[in-house]
Amino acid sequence: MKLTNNLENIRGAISACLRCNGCTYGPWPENYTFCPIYERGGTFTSSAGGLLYLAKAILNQQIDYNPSLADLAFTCVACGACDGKCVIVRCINPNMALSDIIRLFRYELVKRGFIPEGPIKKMYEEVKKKGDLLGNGQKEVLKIPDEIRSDRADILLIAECIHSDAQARSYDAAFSLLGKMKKRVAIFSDPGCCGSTLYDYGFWDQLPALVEAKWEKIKGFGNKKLLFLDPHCQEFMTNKYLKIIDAFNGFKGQHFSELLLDAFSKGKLKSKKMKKIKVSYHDPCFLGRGLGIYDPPRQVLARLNGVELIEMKRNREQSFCCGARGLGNYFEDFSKGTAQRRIDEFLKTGADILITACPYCKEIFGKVMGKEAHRVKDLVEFVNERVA
Amino acid sequence: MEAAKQGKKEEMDLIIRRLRERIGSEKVKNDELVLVTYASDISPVPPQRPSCVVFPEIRDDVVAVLQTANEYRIPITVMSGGVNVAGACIPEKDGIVIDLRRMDRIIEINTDSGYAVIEPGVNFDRFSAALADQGFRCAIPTAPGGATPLGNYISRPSGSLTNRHLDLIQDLEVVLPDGTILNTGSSQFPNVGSQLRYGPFPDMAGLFLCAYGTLGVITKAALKIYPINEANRVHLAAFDKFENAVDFVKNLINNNIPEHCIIWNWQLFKSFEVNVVGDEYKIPPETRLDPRKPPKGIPYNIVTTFMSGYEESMRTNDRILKKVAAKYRGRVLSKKEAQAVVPGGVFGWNELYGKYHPLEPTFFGLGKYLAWIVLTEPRRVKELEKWAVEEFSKFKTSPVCYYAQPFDFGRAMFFRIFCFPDPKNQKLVDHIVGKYREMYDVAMKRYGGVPLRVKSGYPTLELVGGYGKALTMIKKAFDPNNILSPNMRIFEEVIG
Repeated sequence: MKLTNNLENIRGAISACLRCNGCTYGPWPENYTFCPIYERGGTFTSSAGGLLYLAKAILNQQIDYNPSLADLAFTCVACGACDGKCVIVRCINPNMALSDIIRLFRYELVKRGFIPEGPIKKMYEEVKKKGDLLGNGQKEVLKIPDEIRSDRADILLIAECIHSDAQARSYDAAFSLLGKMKKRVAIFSDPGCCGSTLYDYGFWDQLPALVEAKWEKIKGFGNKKLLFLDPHCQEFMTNKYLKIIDAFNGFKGQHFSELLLDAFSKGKLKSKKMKKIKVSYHDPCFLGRGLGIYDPPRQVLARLNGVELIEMKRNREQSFCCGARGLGNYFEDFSKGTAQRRIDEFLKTGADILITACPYCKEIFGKVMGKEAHRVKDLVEFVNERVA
Repeated sequence: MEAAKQGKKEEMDLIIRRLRERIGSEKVKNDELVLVTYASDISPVPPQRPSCVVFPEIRDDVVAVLQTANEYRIPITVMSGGVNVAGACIPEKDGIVIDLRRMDRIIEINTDSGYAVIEPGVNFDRFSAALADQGFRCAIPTAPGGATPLGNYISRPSGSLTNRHLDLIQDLEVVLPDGTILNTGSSQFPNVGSQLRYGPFPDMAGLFLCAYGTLGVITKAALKIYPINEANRVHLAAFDKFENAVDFVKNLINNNIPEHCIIWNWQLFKSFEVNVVGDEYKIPPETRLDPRKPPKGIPYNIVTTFMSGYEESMRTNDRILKKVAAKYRGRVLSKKEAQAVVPGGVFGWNELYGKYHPLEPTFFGLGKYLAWIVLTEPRRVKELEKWAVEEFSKFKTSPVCYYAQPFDFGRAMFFRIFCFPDPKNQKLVDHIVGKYREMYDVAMKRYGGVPLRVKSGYPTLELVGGYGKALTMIKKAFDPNNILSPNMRIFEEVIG
């Protein structure tokens, strides 16, 4: 594994923080606050800079690893908003963005047994026991229509990470759309995790073996373009596999929104005439900031008859995270509270539907919206409803 | 001993409870994580944990905290942003930190009179953006956008774009330890704005500048702002000798041409090229050479000149600049030449001067730096520069960076030089910090250089005779229990 696995190795980057708070807000002139833990906490401590200062204090033996540190470190959603903003840390250590340092901090905590109670601990116990997150994998066996499946197709749909009904519905919509496009794909649908969750939560001791095993299986499908619905998997496999697998040669990847755009451009999908509707699009962190895919989902929405896109105040690079992955206990109900802030922003637009392109965003928004959950849709579901 | 410690802890618990009752528990933090993160900054000043950190949201919160701290004689350390302060916000052990970041309202932008009233937590990024919306700008220092105007302006002279002024404060609202609230400027009168710094009474704002929170806590300030004119220019002029660069700058200022000039040494402007390309960290190799001898083709100094006004006057000034540069054996660089000599700097200067907002200087990526700063007369800064660069060369750290700029129409020249010692080499860091103290002494005696701040206990109030006596009297009257920023060590010798 080429990943730095020791905080001491990056002491220089950790010690470089100027306390400028630049990691908490977006570019000039909007300067929107985009760090969820900072927006909630309003202290230097609850920011990426604060976490660096805590890491520095550990290295300088001013504080020991402890459960509170774990609560804060795992509350960070690792949304990557700070990564593009802080030039200082990247100057010192180009290989690690701020959010990667926070993940490494988590690894150091996990190594010492400091894991917050709740879902993260459950996941860790499963990973430790089984080497994978099978609970994160398919909840039920996917019903893949025969007319879209072909192992000889040049596209491989990565469909391993389906752990909720909401996610399964997105895949159903995706299969339906592939049928409408008359597109055949090979499908990788082994239960389990690609490694992104292990990476995010610092379960790094189990990471290399899992990733190498997954990649071996994926390679077994031959040299295909990989198609993703889940931006977490796509971002992780695109940007991190090369830092974990020694003989990794990369792959051609595509997000489903890009496939849809291509299908519209080639006339393989046609929008139905439907009544007018206003939608707002939430940029998932790993699709936007992680992969730079901002335009294709918007362009797809623009191809749909009667659909008007109304942007939320914080969008694209300055988008605000849904909070789904902030599972530490530093703040009470942090994950749902963060989602609520984003939903409030959506409601201010006056749009009818909140569109996203990530299963985690969809799930948390749905949970928080309760009876209004039907107003949250994955892009593929929404498109599927509106194309012939 | 243990009993005393226990008694102290119980008293602090009581104080924290009282603070929470008065301003709300969400604004008073004393968990270990908060205390640790407020114990240090990027400077080599050793960390010290406070007993709690408070986050006032309104002025009355500050009043409540000060009154409580005063009653129990607990030392206070105040920060507006805590950025660019070189150890000034490291608290007293077991004291209270007041972090003013949540007091971040822009209260008024007065485009008629040319001032803006803001709270201390407003940072340069937000302030400059709000002003730009109104066609105005503020003075911006060589600091990150997260630094605060108030924090920088009270540490005068710290704002760039201000060769014509020494400070940028118009009016302050201050809270004293007993809870007294005062306004220093014309807004002290009902229904009057902040158009006057002082009068008909004496100027009290000056008392709080360079006081670093030792005389009161500033909760609001009216700051000078400037209109964005029809046209502006950023010129780069190259010089092979620092003294010629100084004469060039003085001549321009005497003729009232630039709004701002800065003289940069070559290792500093080459350091602007420090950057990340892909996964590689690029450091220009020249920055590792002897700072006294730039390689062929790289000028010793570059002067950036910013001016604005009507397009017609800009065209005239373009010609004047070339003439004056030639007079002092320098030359104004064409855009192409500037791009070739300082690719990393041109973009930043155009953003800073042309769009009036701060950029994160990538040269901070070179690591922790230690700065030495004095202000002296223009003729004496020429000799001071030679001596200071010589002294810094002896540290054998690279690069050695400095910049110099005139203030108050060139009456004083600001000279800031810094180096980047390996932070792991504590012996070297300690040596440099110790050497700085000696250098301040020499700079004053030999070059008339006055330090920007009281540094390492130099100069002392005892050195300044009647001024020190009067200031001590004021301190005792305002802060009889000496709770305000004792960490600044300004009154250490005279009060203890």
